[in-house]
Amino acid sequence: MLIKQSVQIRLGRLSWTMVVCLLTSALLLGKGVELVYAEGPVTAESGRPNASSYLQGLASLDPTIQITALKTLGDIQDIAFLPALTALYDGTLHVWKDASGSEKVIIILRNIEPDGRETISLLNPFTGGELGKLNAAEALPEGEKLEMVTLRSGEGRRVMKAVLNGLRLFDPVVEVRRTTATTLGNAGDLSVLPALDQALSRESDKWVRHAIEEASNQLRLKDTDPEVRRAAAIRLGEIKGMRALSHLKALLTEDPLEPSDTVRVAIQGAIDSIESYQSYQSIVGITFSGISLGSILFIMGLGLAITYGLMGVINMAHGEMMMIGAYTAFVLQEAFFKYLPPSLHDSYIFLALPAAFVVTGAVGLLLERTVIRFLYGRQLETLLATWGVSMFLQQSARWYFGDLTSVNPPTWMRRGMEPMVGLVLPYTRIFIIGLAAVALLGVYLLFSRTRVGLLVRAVTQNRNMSACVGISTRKVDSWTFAFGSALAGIAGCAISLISNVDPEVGKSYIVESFMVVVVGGVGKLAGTVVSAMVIGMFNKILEPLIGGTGGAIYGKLFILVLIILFLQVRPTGLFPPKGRAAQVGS
Amino acid sequence: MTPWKGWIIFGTVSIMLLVVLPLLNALPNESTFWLPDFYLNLLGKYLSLAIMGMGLGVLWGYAGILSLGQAVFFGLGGYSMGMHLMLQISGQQSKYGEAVPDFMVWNQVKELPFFWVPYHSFAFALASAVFLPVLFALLFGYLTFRSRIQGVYVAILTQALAFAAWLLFNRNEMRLGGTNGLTDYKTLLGFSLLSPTTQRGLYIITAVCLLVTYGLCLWLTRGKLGHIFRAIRDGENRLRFLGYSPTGFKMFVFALAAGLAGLAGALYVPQVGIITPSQIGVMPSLEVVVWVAVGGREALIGGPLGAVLINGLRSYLTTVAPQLWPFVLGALFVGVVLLFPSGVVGLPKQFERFMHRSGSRWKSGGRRSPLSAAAASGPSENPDKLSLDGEEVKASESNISAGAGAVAHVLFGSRVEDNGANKAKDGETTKQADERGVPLLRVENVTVSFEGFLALHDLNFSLMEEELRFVIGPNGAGKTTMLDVICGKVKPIQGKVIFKHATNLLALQEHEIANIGVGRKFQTPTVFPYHTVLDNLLLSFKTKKTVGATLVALQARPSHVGLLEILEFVGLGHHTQTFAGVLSHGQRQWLEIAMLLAQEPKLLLVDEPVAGMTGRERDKTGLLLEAIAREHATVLVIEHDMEFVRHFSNTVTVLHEGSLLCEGKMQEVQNDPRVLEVYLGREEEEHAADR
Repeated sequence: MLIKQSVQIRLGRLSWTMVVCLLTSALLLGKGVELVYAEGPVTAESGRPNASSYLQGLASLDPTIQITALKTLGDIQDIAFLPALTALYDGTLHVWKDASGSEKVIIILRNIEPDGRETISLLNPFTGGELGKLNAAEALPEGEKLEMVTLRSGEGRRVMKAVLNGLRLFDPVVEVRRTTATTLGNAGDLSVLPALDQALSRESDKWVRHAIEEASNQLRLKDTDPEVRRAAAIRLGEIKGMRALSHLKALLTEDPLEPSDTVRVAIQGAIDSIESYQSYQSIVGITFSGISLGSILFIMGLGLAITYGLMGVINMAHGEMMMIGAYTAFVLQEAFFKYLPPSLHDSYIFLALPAAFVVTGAVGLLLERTVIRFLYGRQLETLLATWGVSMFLQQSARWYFGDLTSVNPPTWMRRGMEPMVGLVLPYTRIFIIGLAAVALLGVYLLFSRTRVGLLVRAVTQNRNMSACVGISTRKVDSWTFAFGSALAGIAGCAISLISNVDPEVGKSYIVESFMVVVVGGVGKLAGTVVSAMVIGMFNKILEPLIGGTGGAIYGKLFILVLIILFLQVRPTGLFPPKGRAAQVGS
Repeated sequence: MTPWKGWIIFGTVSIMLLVVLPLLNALPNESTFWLPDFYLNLLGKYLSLAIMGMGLGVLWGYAGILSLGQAVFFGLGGYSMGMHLMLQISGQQSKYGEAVPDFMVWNQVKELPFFWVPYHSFAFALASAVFLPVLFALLFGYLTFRSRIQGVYVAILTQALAFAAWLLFNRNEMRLGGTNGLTDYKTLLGFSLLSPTTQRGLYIITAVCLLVTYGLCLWLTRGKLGHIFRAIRDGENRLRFLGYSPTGFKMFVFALAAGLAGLAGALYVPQVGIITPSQIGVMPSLEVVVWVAVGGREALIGGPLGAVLINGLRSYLTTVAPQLWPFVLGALFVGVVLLFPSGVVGLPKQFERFMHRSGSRWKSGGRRSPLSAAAASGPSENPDKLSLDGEEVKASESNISAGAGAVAHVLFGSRVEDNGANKAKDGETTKQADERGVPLLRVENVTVSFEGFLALHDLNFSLMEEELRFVIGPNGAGKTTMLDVICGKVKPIQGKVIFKHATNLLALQEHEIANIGVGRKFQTPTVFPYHTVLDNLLLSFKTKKTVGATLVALQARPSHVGLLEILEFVGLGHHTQTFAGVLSHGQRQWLEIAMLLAQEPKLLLVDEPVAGMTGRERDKTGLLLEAIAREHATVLVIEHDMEFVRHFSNTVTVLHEGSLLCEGKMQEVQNDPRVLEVYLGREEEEHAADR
């Protein structure tokens, strides 16, 4: 009696748990970052009496009255007037006389309606609420008037700028406060010092405080009292005010030179302190860039490590798989923008990653079934055939999408973490590093701890024996290749966050991906990680050393040559496959 | 294809290319048969690319090395000629009247960079176009092939090289025109490049170059060099053990392909009028591969044919429907690999096979390799007719013995042996012989570890001259590993292997060990399947096996006499022209033995010679080995067939778990309790199993 047994390929409990954990962690990662770093909406209310009279003063046709109103607003320092003043600067502050005859000072906003008409919204200068709407094309009815408020004198412009800057120190948006402080510091006008000090006492954000201190101390360097100057220099050294560095240096080298010796000593001390901090910062920056590039190379190489390292299939279309992943993200983003309300626009990334995985996996599966499966064991032929496929895919993308498209990262990803002054670690890159780590963990666990992984390893090590034992080698092959391609899709999705998406993106990454896998040692996951990190760090260290416009290119070139030489000396890579099997010759 | 047929075709094509087409072009423009300048120029461009295709055809089709960086060498040649042409236009003809090329003026470079200066001379430019790629290829090839990098890795490395070269040439700092390249040429050697007569002349020169280089490559690949290349492709490691160092040969063919590509570049540039970095990188290199793949790898004409076809197709498509070209190219890649692996050249044969197969489909299923097709059509004779008649067997045994002695004497007897040969005479053990003198081979304290597993553990073993020694032992005892160590395949972590008292074999590479007289017959026959039986022997027989010697001896007809005798003896006398891949297992074993004999080694390492042989063949083998041992050669045999061992052995060595267990005559060894334990298990254990 024959007992029929077949080894079924089912995702065991561990695999499902892992899938769920991965998705959840990706979601949490994204959401958490968003919660911490996103900006809230902006509102402003004014409870002051006489608010509208100040606005009337601003709108006056008499320059003197305008200037008085401006100066008053500067003195009271109420940020409620900030929108109005900004509108005055931008040219959107208007006087509106409506049908009832009353004149109001409002802010306008130009829109384009869905049906193509141009309209003008009339907004409350304090709340931003809509008071009315007009058609841009239509003429105003009789008795109504809409006039722009302009500055009537040169001095008025100057005063307005000063007032605006003063108020901007209290703007709700962090970036505005920072840049204002820096501008004031560089402008050199000592009269803003009291405003700066006041802003400092009310400021809570770490970096804005830093910018304000930098600015005020930079201004104090001009004080007549040498003690004040000395204290300012010392303080600049303490807080590592890099923006003041050139100013400090100028005091020692150009006219007018700093007269007092003690102050000069303090200035030199500050310069030394700041410069050593700068070099420390650049080391951190380079390390981060190196890790970031390394993580990108790793993600790119991971899929290849599976298809080439594990299965021995040379897939020259791997770059195009990445391209497909990137384009999936693009298409999803477009769809979200078109069909969903703005509040959901940024969530496209959560769908883009799984979608890229699935789509690219499907393409990989198709490729395996139609081309690769006939060429197992014939690596050179696979190389050629997949190159043909890559040309095919590339041209299809070019045909359908055109030559240049770009994917915009979600808004909450657009800036970065700032552990040090002036050193911005972009969130997109942090996200990619996180993604790489998750992918590494996932793949490792999948292949070493799950049943599916065991089947894959069995088939790739000894196909005939696996078939004898009852494993469907065809299925395992297809799914392994699809998985490797799907990982490439994820890589493409990640790449789309930091660079443009065009049909050429595959070609520019394929050579490097292969280098990463081959240098690391074919068949070992650890090798791929190490080689990706090493190549990434090397690249980033070399770039500033070579310098100049060609720094990046020459760095890449140098790394390529190094890799070629390395492979000639040690062709099996960093972590070579060992053992008797490796010695069985041709 | 008979030689006459080949000559006729060659002649016709040459006349067409060299005489007819230029004449048609020289006709006045209005006549009906006039060949427009444009087409002649286009053909000239194709022919220059065909030279590059041919180079890769030799490199990939014959030697099996896939280089994805041929465009780099093409670029070196093209830029060499381009630089010379650029310098020709400086002076009155240039737009700026400066001594430096225009693009340098744009880039504020006032003086000619030093490496441009020699290119004023045409001779230098031409020499550089060919030899700069050759030198570079020799360097790159040396570094690559010395590390025994093979197959896919070479492809990836050359692709990285192409990528790096493309990045480099695009930079303006290189002073080579940057992304725009070098262009706008006016004159060459005083002839204006814009006149049709000059272009016609260039076309003729290109055609001549193609024909000459084709002849050159044909001559190189028809002889022994071609055999060696194909042997490198089919079994590089086996070739090492025959005494060849593949590194030198691979460097040679790599440099040859590079030189041809450089020449192609030099011919291409004056006809096309521009050279840019876009012709250097990864994509152009891959196109060369498509040419050879489509044209056919198996014949030399495949590369040039593919080049002309594909470029023609591309010129046509890029004018008619430019977006289609990448699709077509991609489809070509996939199609050729999956459906037409032999390319255009192989189409007739493929068609034939297809017809044959569909005709006889009810007889057999599955694909047929070219070898099996040859088998179906070739003669099928069984040389060793099995005789079930015992008398016949007995009577022929003496014949065999005589035959064996004759062969052995022919091969080995003519050598002059130095004095002090230590023969282990009958009844003597190695120890006693040792006391008389120095052994031929000494293995001392050798330990081999495979990731912790000790295949050989402190092995001590020696072999006297003119001895026929048998080595036996259970599976995993380390017998084959010991042979691996001796012939250089595996390096031990400790120990010494001394050959002839003087040479430490561990310091030598496999081919060097083979060349000093150590020959090996492998456990599984590894003959070269796509070579004929005679060719297999030609590769093995004792001669100088360096690149230089092979080139010099290219024309010499090697003496076949001794080889034919060997073949007669092993029973393959009627199969000299049969492809080795078609032979049966037993016949392959004999071929292996024949190849071993042809090497005329001083020490023969024979690994399981009689596996799969009939009784009569076993006798033949044993007698042969005995005869060889008598004729001043030493033979070491690993065997499992105890009858065979008992019949022919003198001294027997038993290995167990990587070390020597015991040594002596078969009688002693068979009764040694240690040997019994190792082969049969202990007595107590046996009784335990019974309960």
